[in-house]
Amino acid sequence: MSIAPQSMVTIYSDVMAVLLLVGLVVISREGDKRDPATGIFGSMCLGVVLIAFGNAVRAAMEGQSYAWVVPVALAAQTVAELALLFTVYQWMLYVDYKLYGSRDHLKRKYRFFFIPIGIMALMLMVNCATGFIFSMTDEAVLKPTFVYYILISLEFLYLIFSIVSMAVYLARGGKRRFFSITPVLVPVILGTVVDLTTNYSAGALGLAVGLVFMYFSLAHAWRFDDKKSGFFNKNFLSYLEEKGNDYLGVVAFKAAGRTDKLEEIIKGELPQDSVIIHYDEKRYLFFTETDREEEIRFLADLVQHAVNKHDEKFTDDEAIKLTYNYYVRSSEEDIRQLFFKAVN
Amino acid sequence: MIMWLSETSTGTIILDITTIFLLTGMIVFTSLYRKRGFVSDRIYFYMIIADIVAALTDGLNYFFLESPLSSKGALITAGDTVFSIAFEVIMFMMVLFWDYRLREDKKHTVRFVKIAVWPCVLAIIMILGNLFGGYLFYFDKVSGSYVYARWYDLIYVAVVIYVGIMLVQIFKKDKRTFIIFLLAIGCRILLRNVLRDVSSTPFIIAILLVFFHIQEMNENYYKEVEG
Repeated sequence: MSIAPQSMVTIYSDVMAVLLLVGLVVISREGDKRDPATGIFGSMCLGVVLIAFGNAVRAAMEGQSYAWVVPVALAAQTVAELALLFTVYQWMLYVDYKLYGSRDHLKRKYRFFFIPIGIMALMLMVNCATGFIFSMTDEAVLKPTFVYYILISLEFLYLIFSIVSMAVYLARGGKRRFFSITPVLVPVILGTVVDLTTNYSAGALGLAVGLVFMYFSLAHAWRFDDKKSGFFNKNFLSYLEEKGNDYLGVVAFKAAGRTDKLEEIIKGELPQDSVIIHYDEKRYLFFTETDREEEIRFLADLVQHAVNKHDEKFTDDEAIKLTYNYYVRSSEEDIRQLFFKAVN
Repeated sequence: MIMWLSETSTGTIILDITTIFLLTGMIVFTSLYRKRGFVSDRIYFYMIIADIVAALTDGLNYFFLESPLSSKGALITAGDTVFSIAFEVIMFMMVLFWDYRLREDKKHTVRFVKIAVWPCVLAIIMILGNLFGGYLFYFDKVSGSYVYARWYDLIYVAVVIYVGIMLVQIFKKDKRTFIIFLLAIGCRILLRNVLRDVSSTPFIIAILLVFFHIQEMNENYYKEVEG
């Protein structure tokens, strides 16, 4: 069985894509299993591996004249297309979660994203019997119909929708830290251009490079992770100084008892994209964009009230025993001076 | 893809362009690490640059190979000379990189350079000598084809030595990286034997560099600062 020259290029690029992603998954630091983004990212890697696998098998069948070649090529192409739909869907979820950081927001959105994808997946399965989206010639060469191009366009609409989601989020004043969709979209678009303008497929390779870039851009945030609490560590102050910031106030929470319970309450009571630094074993600093004392007190009291309720139920060793102080920044002070006011 | 190019050349050029794209991204994503100023961070940057040079010359070689240019013989020979030197230098730097990553002792790495540099130096002398002797590779003007000469495999002697040292170094440092390193080299050898012709060396090196950086990122960025 000899492989057609143009298939050779496709197989090469697909094997490279698989190698890149397998290496990424095997060597990379184990992500936080509680974070949905970790699971979604892993699913996207799996999706791209399946796309590359399907593509490579279909390419290897091209030009062969055995009886089993056409059904194998059709099945492989269907796997690749289904995996592409799955990956695009996961991408939407990933962008949503990275922007809003909320499981509730994700739960509200995932059905909405899934309906068109589910319909397209069903259509692809029906296609195996009817060939109304694509079929294979006797030599296992892909023969797409106009429906195939509609399908591709819809998948692209999903990518465009992710750009729109980000723009809407930023327009509403959302904060984007360590997350950009550009590192993924640029290689994906380049890979698609190669797919559309040549006889070779480099789409899976583009997706794989995109995911690697995404991983690296997110990994920048690791320097600021406080692994134990899930908040930022002290190094995040340098990041705020470097990037500029508009934080005018700070609340210093101090627990005399259980800190793990306090961390849960802080996460539940304060806004999702809050900047909270785990300063030392017992102290947490919550930075606010307002310098109005009543607003700062209101936010701090949300935590204090929840802690009081907790401490009513649990006493002694289980109690949190919270105290807090707040500080505002004067016009001459910078964020580092505000920080030291809070911790000294 | 482009006028006179065959599938082999097109495949090579696609992979070389992807390599340059990937490595350019890596320059951006590793900028924070370079600011730390560790020996390994500096070596890593030089490896990226050397691999970009390798990908560039590799792509141009395949581009010229099937072009109608009259001077293509000289261009390809010069290109392959640069490519081969870049390849040897990258392998040498990889060994230094892992030596530092393993011990984190600058003095040891400096001592190690004095021994480890020799296979690379001898290989470079041999490659440069080929410009006058043509015993490794040359362009046959009569047939218009590129010829790998009798002693071509000597280019790989230094590479095999460095890969051998690296296998020990990576095994000691991180078993998962070791497995993926073996897998990448295995893929390269397998593809070369099954599919041949398409040159994926710069891309495989780029993938290895990506893996090396991921391995490094697993450790604490502020490790030395924090003591």
